Amino acid sequence: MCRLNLVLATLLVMPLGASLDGQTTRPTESELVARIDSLSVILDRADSVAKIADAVRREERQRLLGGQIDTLQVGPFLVVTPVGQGSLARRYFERAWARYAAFVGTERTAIEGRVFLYGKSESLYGLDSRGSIRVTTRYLSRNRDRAIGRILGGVIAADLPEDLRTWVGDFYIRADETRELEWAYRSLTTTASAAVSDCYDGVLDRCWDAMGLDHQDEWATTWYSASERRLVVRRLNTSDIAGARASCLDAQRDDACMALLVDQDAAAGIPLPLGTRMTLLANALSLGGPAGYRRMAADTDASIKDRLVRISGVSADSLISSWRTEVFQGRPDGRSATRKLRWSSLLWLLVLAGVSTRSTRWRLT
Amino acid sequence: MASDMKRTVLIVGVCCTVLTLWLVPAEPLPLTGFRSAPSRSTPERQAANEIRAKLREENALLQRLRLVDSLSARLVSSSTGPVFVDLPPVADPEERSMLSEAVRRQVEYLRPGPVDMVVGVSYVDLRFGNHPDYQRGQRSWADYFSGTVDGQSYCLVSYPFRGEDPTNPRSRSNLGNAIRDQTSTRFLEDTGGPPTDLLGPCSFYLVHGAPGVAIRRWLRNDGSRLAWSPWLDGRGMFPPISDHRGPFGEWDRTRYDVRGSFGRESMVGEGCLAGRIDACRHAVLGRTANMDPRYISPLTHPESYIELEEWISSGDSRRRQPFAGRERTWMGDLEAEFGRDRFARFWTSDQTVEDAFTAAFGEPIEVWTMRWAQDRIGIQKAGPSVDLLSVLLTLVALLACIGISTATATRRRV
Repeated sequence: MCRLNLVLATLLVMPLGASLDGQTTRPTESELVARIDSLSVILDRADSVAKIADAVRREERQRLLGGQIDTLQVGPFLVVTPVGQGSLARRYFERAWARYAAFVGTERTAIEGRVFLYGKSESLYGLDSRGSIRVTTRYLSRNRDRAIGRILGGVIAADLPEDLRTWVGDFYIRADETRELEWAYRSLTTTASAAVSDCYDGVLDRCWDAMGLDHQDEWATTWYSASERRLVVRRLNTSDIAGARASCLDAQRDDACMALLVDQDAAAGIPLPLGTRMTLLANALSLGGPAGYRRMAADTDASIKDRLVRISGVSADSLISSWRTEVFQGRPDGRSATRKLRWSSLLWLLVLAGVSTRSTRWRLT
Repeated sequence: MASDMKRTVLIVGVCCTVLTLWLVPAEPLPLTGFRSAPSRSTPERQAANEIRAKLREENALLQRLRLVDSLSARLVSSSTGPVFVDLPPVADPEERSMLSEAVRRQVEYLRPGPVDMVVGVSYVDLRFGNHPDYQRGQRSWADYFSGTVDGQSYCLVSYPFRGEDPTNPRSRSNLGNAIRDQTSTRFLEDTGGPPTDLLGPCSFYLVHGAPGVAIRRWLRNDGSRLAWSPWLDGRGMFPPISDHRGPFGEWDRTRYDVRGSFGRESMVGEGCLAGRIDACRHAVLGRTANMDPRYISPLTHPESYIELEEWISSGDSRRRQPFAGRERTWMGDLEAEFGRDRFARFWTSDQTVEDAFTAAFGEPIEVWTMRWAQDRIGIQKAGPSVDLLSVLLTLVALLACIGISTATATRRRV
């Protein structure tokens, strides 16, 4: 290692002495080109020295790591983790995989044979991670089930055609289906979009607009009303034609809003969020079974709407109606959020009542 | 009763002490996170990365040097008026006329005096000037240069655009959109207001000529961030401080509109708004903090081409500016308040910036800056404080408690 450092230092010092001195006058073009040429040569040499040093360091580290890691088989993939964390890692990955296995069945997916390195980044440092996925716990959400489920979904999503992947984001199936449907219901009631409101009111065709799967060519006018377009402009990173943004938002000029939205891709303006779109895909997959997953991965020609229909194996109306019914069944209990509050209020009332009955005046009477 | 009270007070006191000791650490928490972690690269890899960074900086300098040499030569040989519009041959006539019209409006608004100065506005492919081995180098922001060619003083504004890539048949030029985004006035409510700022710091060159030596050094040393015009649509230039700060002067991100307003003032800006005179001085004379250089391209480091004597500034807005970018009108506001003649005396002075300011405007630069900032943004509360309403409510509650307990005690005695 010392020899390598010595070689590198020599390489750096020799030609740079002339070229990298603090310059006080404007360099000429030819001087600069010459400086860059000489630096390129040095960089090539430095890179090759660095590659050797990196390889030596990697080998040393891997030798030290030997015997300190466990390798687990979970479903069709491997999990590599420090000794002592094996049972925990197995539990997380098995739980997450079970949710996907229900949809994927025995189909071959992009997760087949993948290696996940799970643990603290310090404990994984030095492992040869080429071709594997690092799942370091330092920046992983505390909700490990959700975080690992999302990672697995992201890997499986590699099988999906690109447009479907863009539409649905990570192929993420939540641990708690009830909660997923609650969120979908909330988005149906709170998303500011004419298409979403119509879908909520039972106009099934409009649910496809709300999902961003119909009328993409005229999305700004079909999916949103004028006042909703202003909200879209506020949210989107629109190109800044001078004054158009202020004119749209402050002067409420719809032509200015349209001018800003016209260049935007329809994907940027889809009313319902990714999680809600995923509930439609999950619904289609559950109707179609594992064969549905195969159709989803292979089918790339038709529009996403037609593909969802093919995946489910039922008609478009039946699919969207089934999804809507499921979401409405997942309607959250409006009082559940205040349950703790109610108990807490009651407890405090009892405490205060108890304290007040202990006052001197009460006891005297 | 008295012993009950003492016991209660004692229990509350002990609980409070325990909670304080538990929640408030006796010494600062250790700094953790990846920034404090030692680098895992080998020294050889670090050395190679440093050489690569240096190489990119040299390429950035080469780009600017070629840019200023070619544009200044063309400007001086082709210019027929105070401002020369220089577009590549691929620009269509509509784009040319849009840019020329926008420039004409700004020149008309500025009413330049008879100074020996020509200004050029150009759009140049963002990959222009790269070394053959580093074709991926791209300029991201406008560059501003000034100098002299054949005895003619000039100031150059060069906007980047993405030209068609001959190696990629699907690539499209964005020249039209770049010009349109910069110059369109279709949606302006107030077309009588200040026009689009196409010239940046060069507008001061156009009106007042070349600055004095110290002023020019100051402009290059980050002072140019004070020499812009307001955004055309007034995008939240000076929202009152209460728009984005709570009652204690704390930053309130829930009120802050990312796109409609400027960001948060830096510590220096907050100090100035709170009346710290040194902070005001630093806010205009000191350099702004760069973002962490690891996360931005070397092509946007002015440090990489500051040795180019013609360079004045880049329109890079990603620095942490004391007043979060609102200082872009500092010089314009100064000129508006004191008049063109006194500003010209300051601009062309050979004294240091501070002496030139005091000589031209009769007060120190930091005093005027504090007034400027506080008038426009508001006064920032500094240090611990409680708002008036809370103080009043606490006093009322205390008086009520005292009143009730006194009345109760009096009744018992009877």
